[in-house]
Amino acid sequence: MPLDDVRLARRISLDIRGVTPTLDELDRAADGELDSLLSEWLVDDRHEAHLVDVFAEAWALRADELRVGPTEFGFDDADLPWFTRALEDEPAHVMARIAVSDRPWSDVVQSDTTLANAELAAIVPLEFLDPADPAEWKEARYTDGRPALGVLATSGLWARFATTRFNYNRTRAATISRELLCTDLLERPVSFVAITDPAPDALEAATRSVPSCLACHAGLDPLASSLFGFWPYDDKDGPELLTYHPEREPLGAALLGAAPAWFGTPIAGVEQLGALVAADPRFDACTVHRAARWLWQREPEPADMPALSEIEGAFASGGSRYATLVTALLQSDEYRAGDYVAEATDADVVVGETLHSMSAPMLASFVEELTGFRWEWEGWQQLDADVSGYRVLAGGVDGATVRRPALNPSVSRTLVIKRLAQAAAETVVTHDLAAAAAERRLVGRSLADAALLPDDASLAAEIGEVHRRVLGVAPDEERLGLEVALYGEAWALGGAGAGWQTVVAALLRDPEAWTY
Amino acid sequence: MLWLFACTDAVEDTDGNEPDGATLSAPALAMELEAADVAGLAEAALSAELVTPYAALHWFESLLFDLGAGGEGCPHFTPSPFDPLVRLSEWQGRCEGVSYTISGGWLYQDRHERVDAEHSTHAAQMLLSFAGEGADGPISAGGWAELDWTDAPEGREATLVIEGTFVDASAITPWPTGIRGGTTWAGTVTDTFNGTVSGPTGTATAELYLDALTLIDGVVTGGRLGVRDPSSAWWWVSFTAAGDGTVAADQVEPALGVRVGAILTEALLRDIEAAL
Repeated sequence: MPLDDVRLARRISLDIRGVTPTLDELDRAADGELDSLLSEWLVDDRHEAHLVDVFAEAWALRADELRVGPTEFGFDDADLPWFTRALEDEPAHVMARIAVSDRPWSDVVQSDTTLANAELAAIVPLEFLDPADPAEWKEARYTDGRPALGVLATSGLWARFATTRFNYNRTRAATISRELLCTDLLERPVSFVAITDPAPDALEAATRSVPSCLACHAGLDPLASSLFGFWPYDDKDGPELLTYHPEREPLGAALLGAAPAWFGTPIAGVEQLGALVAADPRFDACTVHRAARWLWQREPEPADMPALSEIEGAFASGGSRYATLVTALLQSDEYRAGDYVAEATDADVVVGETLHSMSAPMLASFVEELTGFRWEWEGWQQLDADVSGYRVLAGGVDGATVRRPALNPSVSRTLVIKRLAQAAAETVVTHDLAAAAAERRLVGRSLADAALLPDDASLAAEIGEVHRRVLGVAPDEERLGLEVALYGEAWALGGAGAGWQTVVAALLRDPEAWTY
Repeated sequence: MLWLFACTDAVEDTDGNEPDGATLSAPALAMELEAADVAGLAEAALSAELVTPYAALHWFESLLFDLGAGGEGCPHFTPSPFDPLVRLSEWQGRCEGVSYTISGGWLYQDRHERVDAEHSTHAAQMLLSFAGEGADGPISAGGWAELDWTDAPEGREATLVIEGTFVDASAITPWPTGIRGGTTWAGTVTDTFNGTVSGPTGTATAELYLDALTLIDGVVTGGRLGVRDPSSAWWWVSFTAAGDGTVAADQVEPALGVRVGAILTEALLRDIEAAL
């Protein structure tokens, strides 16, 4: 059964913008304006910002630690947080910008520009197309002769998925296969039974002759051979690793013994790689598959193939616009399911996903939008990092060992949400009780004085508004009564501040807040 | 005289047929250079001493001398406790040398052995990663180098391997952008160079690839020189030596598995006509 329009609006707003609807938007949804709201939200600036989080998590880009560090570029160790994020987020920004623009999705592998902020521009050799553009991330072009390959030409992607000297770009070729074709070579069984000599030369020879090795290397090595402009002689030297070297392009054939090719199609010049990726039937299919995984919050099953094939056809025939794909998925029955019909079987329950759960980055954006609280320590976003942070504990992806979000309730996730809720409640209530009505974020926005007594006539209505703002629906009478009573008990201990903090924290911790 | 060719045709098998069942084909590259451009770039590369090791050797030797003669923060050498002929140096920090001021690090080791009063062998390996300023501009190094030479009565026999990116705007080198890529010289260094050279390299205006070039008395007599087209395809210039020691035309060799056509320069055509 589909969600009602109000709950569906909350789900769409979170999936598209990472934030809940305003009360006005909830009212408009109730009045049947959901389609208009979706159109507005697809051009909201927060949609692009949220897509950066979505792509960064899907590609496991934010690994916190890279092979290069800030001190190689004249900065300090304390600059590590912005240094790594400037690099790691670059490919996510490229994809997000193409997704929200009227550009074909194939630009992801064929664009001759990238996106960069001032920090990234201080690290890699590029120049802004319009330096006067006030946006933080703006279009730029590399100046070291690298080819027009979209994300495949970004220093950020290859800093994240680095290669060692003797790996010869194979890691990177496997990354292309996994992220753009949905073919993860590491999921294939690897057998060393036929390998009798572990010497490096013998292993290299085995990749070209032993059938169990050739199963992967026949496609992997020619693709790796095409990436040698990105290959560093010294894989620990920052400038070496982040600069393109056009003169090294023929080294692939020399070192790997494999001429550049895309799964059997020879590549005469590396700029052909982008067109070959985009023309591969697996590229569109993988794009649709991953978008479905994101929005349906589950892995597509064989039973989904007819629906996804239809969506893929519309995507391709409509000029491969990412917005078209997103809209089609948001309109699907799979996305809009809110509950099961009486006739649903156990198999239906296993396949279908009727309750969505916030990812770690979404928890951060959801809370910040409502309360202004940003959980940060020494430059690290605590819900988006693990070297200093709680990202994996909150069910997030760390890029190194955790590649898929864990969104089911768990002890660690519940504890993180508890602390997040308490800290955010303290922040917003402290602010709102001191601010004028027009500047309050969550509490007392329609009142002259937000410091209410427990028996104040406007207390219940105000708590109801806060409840609706956080959870998307108004509380029923019983629930409202409990929240009013909770306010009174806390008020007795610490006044209006304690009262509101307790109620807001309870609302933010409620499973109905962080599920949708 | 040079044979020049470029990759322009579709993939063919050895019988000249299109492969069966192909569902993807690479889009044609719009070559931006002409054959005459490539010939000019190749000749400029040959005359700019890219294929001989003198300038590279001189640059490394000058760099080692400059840094070694620097102040307290500069690299210094200590004898190995295991071999009195070996010196070691491990440096990280900021060095104000004679001409350079750099920040970064290096690992260095060399071995010097005197064979007789006039001759010696010298081998050095170094891993460099630093950036800074020279007298006339920036300098940076990222990579490693191995120098191996023997001073013998018949001349200095040298192997020089450079892998990485070394940029020195203040040095008087043939390469305004420094040494790029990875080049191996192996041969005899006297007044001329006799040996082979391989590896990626470049100038301010061209990206180049030296594919086992053979030099006799400093003249290229074999191997291939790659020149990168701005479209990202590669041109290949093949060298062979005729009996009289001049470079002559030879059978065209397919590059990158693609059958190609030969493009002749005017000079090459005249030479062929003269030989007939």
